[in-house]
Amino acid sequence: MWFQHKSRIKRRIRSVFTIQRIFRCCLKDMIPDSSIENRSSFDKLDPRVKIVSAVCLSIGIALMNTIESLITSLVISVLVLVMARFNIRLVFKRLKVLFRFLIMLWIILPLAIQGVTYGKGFILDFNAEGLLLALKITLKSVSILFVFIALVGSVKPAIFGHALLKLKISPKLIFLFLITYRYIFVFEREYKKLKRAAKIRGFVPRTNLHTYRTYAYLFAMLFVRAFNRGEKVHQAMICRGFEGNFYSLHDFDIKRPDVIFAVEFVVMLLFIVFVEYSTL
Amino acid sequence: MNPLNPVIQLEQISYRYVVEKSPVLDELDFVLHRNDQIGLVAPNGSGKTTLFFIIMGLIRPDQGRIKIFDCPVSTEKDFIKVRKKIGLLFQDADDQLFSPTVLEDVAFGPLNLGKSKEEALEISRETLEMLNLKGFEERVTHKLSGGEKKLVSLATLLAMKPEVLLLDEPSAGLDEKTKDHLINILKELSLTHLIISHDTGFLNALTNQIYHIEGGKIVN
Repeated sequence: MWFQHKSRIKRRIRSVFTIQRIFRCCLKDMIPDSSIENRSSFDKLDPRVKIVSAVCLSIGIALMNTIESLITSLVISVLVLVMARFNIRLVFKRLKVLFRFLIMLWIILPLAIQGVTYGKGFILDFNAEGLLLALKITLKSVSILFVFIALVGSVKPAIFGHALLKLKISPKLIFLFLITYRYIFVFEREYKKLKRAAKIRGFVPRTNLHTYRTYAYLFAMLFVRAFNRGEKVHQAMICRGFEGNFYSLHDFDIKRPDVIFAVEFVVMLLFIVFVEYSTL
Repeated sequence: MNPLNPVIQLEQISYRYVVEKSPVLDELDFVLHRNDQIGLVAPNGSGKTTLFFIIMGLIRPDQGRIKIFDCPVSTEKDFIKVRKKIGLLFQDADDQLFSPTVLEDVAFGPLNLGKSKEEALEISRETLEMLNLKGFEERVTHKLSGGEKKLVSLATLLAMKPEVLLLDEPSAGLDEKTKDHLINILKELSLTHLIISHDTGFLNALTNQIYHIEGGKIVN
């Protein structure tokens, strides 16, 4: 009986950590899917203003150090999220990824940081400084994530790319971003195709050399295909008169609501800084 | 056929991928005249796609001369001009569509031709409408179905207003309905075209001559 149970656990662990799963998580959670309706009240704002505001506020929050100012940040970021009227289910889906990482910190930090001993662990001492640090990190990361989801999460990848272009970010990087967005799904499909091909010939992943070798082949094949496709896409671009210049079809202009929005953000940032210094 | 109006002239073209092996194209001669509609049938690996790549200047032949619109072409600069007049439809539509949205992809060619943004957008919308793809403008390219991808790929070429179309297995993987739609579009356009295909019905509908590649040469 027990070995059946053991093999089930082993299977479970394996399935959790299969590359495919990680791959899927990254794809589904990180890339904003434009098919999901994200009706946000910020939709009409200039994406450049939203990006710059989100970056400034995030840097501000990241630099704060007192619990009071961090709680203020969290409250403000929740407010921003509510103002954005963002799909709550989607927010939690994205939070899940962050929480996986944070749980690790909550376990490790209280044991790893030196300070006043709070409780005796089995081998290591458990202390309050570590807990406090974990709490701060949690507050900071959740606030920053909320701000980004509310402001940048609602911008479609294509528009996001063009907004960055207008913000004078290197066109090469933006092109890389847009092409990645275009082809990452093609690679997922190719990966699935290869995996299916292995499966129909009786391949079952196990903890052995054959499995590792098969995965290595699979990835090698994926790289070869990626290279070939890159070459072909380049040829297709050349055929359509590409000579190294990118043209953007999007025009943005800053209107009154954008200015009001930016001022609001500056006020929020100043408020957080004020709380930080008044509680020091 | 109008012998006075050659569009593509290939003379003694040879190309080999691997030095030791026999060439895929061996002293090949071929002329495409204006208003010719030619089908090209040949087994896999016989150099059909290579031939298209040579015409577009994506690869250079080991020997031979190429004349397009009666002008000899050999350097990259010459081919840049060629590509503005000849449209090549790739076998795999995923290679052809690389912009995030359909409208951006269709506008890519006209923008490269030096059109203003407004002109490019207008041309793109017109082209999409012509192909019954109205409403596709903001669709995300990677989420289109196979048939839709093929039609959008064609739209990206037509937006550049080419004089000649080179189509590499355009009907592969399409269902009957989409295939018929494609046939109707190409018939209506009635451009000079050269089609690689294994699909006899498709070729019969769209071409008036069928050529073969045998031993690295084109035969009638």
